[in-house]
Amino acid sequence: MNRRLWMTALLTSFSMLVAGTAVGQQGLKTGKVGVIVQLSGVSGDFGVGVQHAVEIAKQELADNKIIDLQVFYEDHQQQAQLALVGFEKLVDRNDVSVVIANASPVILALAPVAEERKRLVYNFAGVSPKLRSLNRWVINGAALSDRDGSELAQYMVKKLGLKTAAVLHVDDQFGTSVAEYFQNAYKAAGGKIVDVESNPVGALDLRTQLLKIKAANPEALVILNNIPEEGYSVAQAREIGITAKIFSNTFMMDPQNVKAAGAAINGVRGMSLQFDPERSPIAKEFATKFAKKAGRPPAITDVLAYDGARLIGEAMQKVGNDPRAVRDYIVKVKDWPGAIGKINFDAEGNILLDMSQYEFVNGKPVFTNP
Amino acid sequence: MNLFLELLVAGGVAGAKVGVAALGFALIFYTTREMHFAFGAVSVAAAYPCYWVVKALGDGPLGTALGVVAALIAAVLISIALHKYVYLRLRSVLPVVMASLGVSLIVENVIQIVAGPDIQVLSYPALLHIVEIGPVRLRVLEIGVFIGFVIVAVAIDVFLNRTRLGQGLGATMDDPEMAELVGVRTSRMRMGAYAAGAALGAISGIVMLVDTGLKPAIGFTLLLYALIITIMGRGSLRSVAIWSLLFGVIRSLWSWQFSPDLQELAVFALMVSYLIARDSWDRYQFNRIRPISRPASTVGADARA
Repeated sequence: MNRRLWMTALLTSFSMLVAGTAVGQQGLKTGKVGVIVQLSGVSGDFGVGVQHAVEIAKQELADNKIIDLQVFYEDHQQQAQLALVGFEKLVDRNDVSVVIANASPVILALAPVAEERKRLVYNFAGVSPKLRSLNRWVINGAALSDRDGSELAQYMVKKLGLKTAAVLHVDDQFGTSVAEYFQNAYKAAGGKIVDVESNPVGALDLRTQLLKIKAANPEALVILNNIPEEGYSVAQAREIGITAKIFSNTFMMDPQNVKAAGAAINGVRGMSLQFDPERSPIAKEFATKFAKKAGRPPAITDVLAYDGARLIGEAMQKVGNDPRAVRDYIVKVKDWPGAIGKINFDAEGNILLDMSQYEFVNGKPVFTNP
Repeated sequence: MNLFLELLVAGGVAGAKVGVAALGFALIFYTTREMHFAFGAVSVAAAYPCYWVVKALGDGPLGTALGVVAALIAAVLISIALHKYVYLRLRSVLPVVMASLGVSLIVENVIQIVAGPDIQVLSYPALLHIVEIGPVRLRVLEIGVFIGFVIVAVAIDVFLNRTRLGQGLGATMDDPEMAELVGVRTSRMRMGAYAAGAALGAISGIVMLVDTGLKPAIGFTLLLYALIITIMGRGSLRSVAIWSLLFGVIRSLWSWQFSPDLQELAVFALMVSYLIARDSWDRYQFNRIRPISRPASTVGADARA
């Protein structure tokens, strides 16, 4: 008798809970979003950070009664073919309207499939200039590196008077295209490239490449690599005695790079998007929530993923789940309040954000033209 | 010339770093014939307790020593448990390969869940201090790893050739059935090989903790290089030590005149060529001595003819 009473009480509570949830969700639109990032493998830390950022965005969208976003994750382990499989799964099994993804080789692989399957791909971290104007189904929510490469080249040659440079880049779609673009911009600005070396994805020891660069004796070393290879490059460059000024891109801001480089990071300069938690309440709130969840401050890419997820959620609430309508809504936003700053897009769906110069001092980036 | 010297030394040091793990992996494989593909993951997993202990007790001599001991104990316990409770029950090559790959993935994921995916580094300024030897600049850590590798390689060689226990281990590597018949406790030898191999793997993990930092999936690189060098060693730990250094040096020196983009390809091409040439030579030697060992009846027939 006692057992039956307990069972009845339990079932009643469960029914009330379900009913309560249903009422809570009433009136709240739903949307399905896929996220394809590297959740395991050598760059698993990157994807896990992004996962935290997207989950924070999802929770905020629900808390603010904007939309009940269902998010499905796939792991690409830094391999485009796994991303393609993940994309098909997300479309066929979960029927997602939008896929948030990163990494230039991944976005390049997804673009034609996205067009064929008529699904929107929101790129939050692939920065290769080759991603510009891929097709209507790709939105670049990350600043492509043709702009910062060009600005960096101008800054190095015109402002700092560094006439010779060497480039170390990762040997993939991202690294080769970014390095090529930077070299052209540097030469156009009047500088001379004395050596270009590349390393495989996931390299731990870059001393061979760096020794060759040291022998070329450049005034500046530009590192365009993955995370944390950029950090390794800086530490090992200083270790083998490269005294050239070191420059890099937005990825150098990533806490993993800072950790891997140690004290050698000081003096490294470059061009990057700037995330300042003190700039707006949204940025501050996100930074606090992220630090609590991930145990570290957010990287720029975490911020861009968070903004992307929020923007997609808002678009779905306004125009529904049609990927074409979501795309049109996103590219037409004006000064949308993101944690990274005010967000705008050009007509081709490329985000427009100002770049800032930075220099690492005492292990922290100091922006010289915020 | 400076570049040549720098590349030579950098290659030697890189070879020594890989060599410690390769000796551990080879010791296990040559003794047990078990493809312990979880070696890299276990080596990295074992270094995490070292990190936690040092973070908890501080990076003084006591904290560091206890951290190292914690890593060694973790590596040895996990490896012996895998050997005893997983691999031995499977009893054949392919299931062990499959199981060890599975274990490797499980270990990586468990580390990611427990320790998080972020990079973990232990910083010892004394080990990061730069020493200049002519044009070559090395950290104290690299010099220590190189000396440590030489000591370990020589110690293993002396142990295998000059001690009774070592000869028992050598016999287990060469012919386990015969070793069993002459009274060598081969099961204990296998257990010992796992313990020693795992300890060497843990040392590699600890070096990574200070050198590049640890990430859950970083063990795969360790395993890959250790596996290649073990294959090159063809059953001899002395060869494994030599090939470790050659692996690093050839890889590095390739960049002296050619693009580093192709250094992996060049090293693997050279190693595969060596294996093919060595195999052809062995077959040639075997065919040359075969006529001498013909059956007596055939010899008699020749004589009669």
